[in-house]
Amino acid sequence: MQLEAVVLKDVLPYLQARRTFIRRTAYAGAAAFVVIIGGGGVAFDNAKAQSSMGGTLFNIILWAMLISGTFECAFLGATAISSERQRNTVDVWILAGMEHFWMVAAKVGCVLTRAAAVVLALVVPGAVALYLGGRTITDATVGFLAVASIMVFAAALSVSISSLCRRNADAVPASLTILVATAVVPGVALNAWAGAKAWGSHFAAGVIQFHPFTLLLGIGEQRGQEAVSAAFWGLVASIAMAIVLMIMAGAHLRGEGAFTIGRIQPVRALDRVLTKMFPSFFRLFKPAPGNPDVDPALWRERIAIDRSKALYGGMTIIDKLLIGGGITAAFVQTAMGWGGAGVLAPSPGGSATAHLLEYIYAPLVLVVFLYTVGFLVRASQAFSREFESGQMDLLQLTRLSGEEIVSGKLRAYVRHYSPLLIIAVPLGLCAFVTLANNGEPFSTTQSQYGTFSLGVPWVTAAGWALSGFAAAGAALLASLYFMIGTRAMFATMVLYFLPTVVLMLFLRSVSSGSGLSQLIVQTLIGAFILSRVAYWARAHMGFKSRHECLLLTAMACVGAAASGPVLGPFVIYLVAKTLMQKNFNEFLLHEADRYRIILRRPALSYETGGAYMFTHLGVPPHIERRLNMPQTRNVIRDEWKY
Amino acid sequence: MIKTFNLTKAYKNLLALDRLNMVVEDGDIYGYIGPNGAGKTTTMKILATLLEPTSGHAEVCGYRVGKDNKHIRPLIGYMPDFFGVYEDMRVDEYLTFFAAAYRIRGDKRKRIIDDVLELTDLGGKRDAMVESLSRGMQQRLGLARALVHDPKVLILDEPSSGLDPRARIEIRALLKELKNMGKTILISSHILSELQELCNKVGIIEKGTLLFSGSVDEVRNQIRRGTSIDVRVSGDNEMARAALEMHPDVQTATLDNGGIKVNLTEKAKDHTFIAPYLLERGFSLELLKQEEPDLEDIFMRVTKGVVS
Repeated sequence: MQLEAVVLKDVLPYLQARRTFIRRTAYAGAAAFVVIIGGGGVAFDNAKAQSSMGGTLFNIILWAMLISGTFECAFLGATAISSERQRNTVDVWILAGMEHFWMVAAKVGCVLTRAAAVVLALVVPGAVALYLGGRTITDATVGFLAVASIMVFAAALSVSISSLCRRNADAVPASLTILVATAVVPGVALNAWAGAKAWGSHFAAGVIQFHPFTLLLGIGEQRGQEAVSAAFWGLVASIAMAIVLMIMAGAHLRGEGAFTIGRIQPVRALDRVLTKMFPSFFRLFKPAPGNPDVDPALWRERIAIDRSKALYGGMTIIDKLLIGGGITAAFVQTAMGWGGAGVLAPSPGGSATAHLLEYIYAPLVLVVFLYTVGFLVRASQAFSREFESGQMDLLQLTRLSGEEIVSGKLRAYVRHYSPLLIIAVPLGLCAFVTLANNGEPFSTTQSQYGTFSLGVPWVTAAGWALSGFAAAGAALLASLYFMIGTRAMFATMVLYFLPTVVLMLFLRSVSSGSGLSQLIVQTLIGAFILSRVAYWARAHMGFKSRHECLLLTAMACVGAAASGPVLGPFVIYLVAKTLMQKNFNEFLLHEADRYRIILRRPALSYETGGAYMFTHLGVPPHIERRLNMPQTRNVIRDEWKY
Repeated sequence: MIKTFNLTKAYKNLLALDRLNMVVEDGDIYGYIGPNGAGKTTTMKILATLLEPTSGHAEVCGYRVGKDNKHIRPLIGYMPDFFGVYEDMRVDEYLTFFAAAYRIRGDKRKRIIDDVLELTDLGGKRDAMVESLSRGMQQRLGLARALVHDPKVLILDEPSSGLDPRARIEIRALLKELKNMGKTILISSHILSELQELCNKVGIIEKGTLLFSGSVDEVRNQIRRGTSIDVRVSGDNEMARAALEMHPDVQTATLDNGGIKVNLTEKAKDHTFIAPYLLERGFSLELLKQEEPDLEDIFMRVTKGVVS
């Protein structure tokens, strides 16, 4: 009965969104069409090429399933209970007799159902790729079982974390961090230390390494039916772990956890201790707010960042630990390399330099990724928080201009990202060690991560540090545009990672192996596009239509990609800043924009005159009549905001 | 101080304000009353320069809303109905931020913050985190925030909603103090008894249309005309009823609970004629009472409970 209630509330409205399914089916159909056309061209004259293409496509599709499914589970799961808590409906559920464990289990089920809709859409092109050859049914079975296994774990973990959090903005970064720490880190770490070949050349090995249970069962080392059996038991282990997590979350909700969320005092205590021990280091994370007379918006935002609450605030200590831990790991690895420890033994076809870079890159890339996700979540709340608390109206009435508000917030968040500059230190040390080992400062070596040159770590480090500009720009733009915290958070992720993906694709397509010349070309192209985009954006007084905004964003993506890792973030930053500053007042006053969120919101059943789904009492006739009045429906909608 | 001229606001197919004409004079405390969805918040948002009207226009302190927003904004203090605060700031930081945002600097800012904290009785909470304040204190802090730049006009949208009786009394006392300081206040509230005590003028809006606007006494007189008068004589009440019914200013006279209930015509000036009229005819009067309508009676009588 309880499961039915959750399904009615969470799943059925989603399944009724026919357009979503039509769109996804269309995507899957288009993908299948491309596969067929691509594979069909070689199918009749070159079976080997067809087989190779089928294998590659299947791998890509499997990875797409894994990433989309895992992230969908993580995001949906992280907001499953915290969003109920935000709406004060958790206590209503419990008072209505909902059993705690089943509430969590139902939420996990709903998350999996919704995430499965995404994953299943990819089955069609996957089947076509499998038909082309290159992979066996056994391979596919192992791959699908691994994806299912990870999704079950991710859903249960995220929902459990959600049960601990007060707000979605706390739950999402916490969920992602813990998911990565528990499910991805073991695989990445073991892969970094032991090398991919230790896990076999089996195509699913890459996927499997991203999951602790399947990894421990050693699927990658096995073949045929044994691998299927190991993958199956990996799924069983995942389900068992999910049940344990759900029981723990249910037990938490059964106590006072359903109604009150305590602050994580140990985290704050640790924060205080570390701050006292290393005041200079921690000042990097907590800059003094400054003078309110000079820049009130910056002053306010720095206080807000410094005093973030609960888990959300706890993230600041996680940031510190991440960076501190990452640097320590890099130093230890470098020292081991310097001392000629066994880990520096060159892999076949590679060199000590490449190997060293791999070791240092692994933890640092992870640190940068996790810090960036946490940062994006925080920054995406910069404006939406003002809208949701009603402060934006009050800010508009002050003498602060839109330019000042945007600029102050941007500066605060760019500064908040800057501690990642520390990453440049171990990378510099890495370059120094490599130089000492080889004696050739610009020698190029090949490794499993691609082509490295000694110039690249420095450039990349600078790109990482400067990518704070891009992250802050993307997050604040999404926050201002979408107004609602959760939407802004998701939009930020897309806005930020989309240009990164474009950048990666571009780099791959133009990479000639010469780091320096590639960098110069990219910088020149980027500088040109940057100037054109900035000029074009400034010449326009505002994006009057969404198409214009999309066009500008697309240009920014291309500009960022072409500008390379150093100038790219600046392009995004400047475009986002220009868009926000030029459109600030018009955007807030423009009615259509202001009401966009309300009007886009799908109509609730009672608003459209439909019957209530959750009550056996039905709707009293006089209320039903009023609810069916078109004017009443509009009032309800408009009052949602005003 | 505040004038609207055929102010109209439409949201898609919803007419939130329909040709609103309202005048608030300098020094008035104008109570703006109406059921939920009547258009009160929309009016206030337009006057606070946060929304643009669909047609018509409004003036605040002689400046036109929309065209002269830069001049209007420093002159108004606005407190929205949905009042959120920066929970992560201390009370003095919160006020410092808004004072700085209004370009009030240095010692002057400190002095003003001291003053508004004293006025709102939050001096003892200066270093407290905003999130730790009670709802009533947060409302007072909101009022303090609206006062930091010493505005001439205060636009307060339901400042007492959700407050307990003590907090409501405190807010009311504070508003009286502001009235004595010469501020012009436009205030909406659902607690009508409170407005009755506080306001010298009221406007009643329903379905986007202003049904009534004027002083509380005017509206009371107007409503009083429609109310019934209880009369009881020591002799035969039936005869007295018949006599009253003959009077041209009496619309109906009916026996009710051992007395007579008299309803006057629209043309009747007041009920003072009844006593001499009955005495002249030999009746000795035991009771002559007209129920004093309060703002709730007025509100219920004027409005029909429909929303736009």
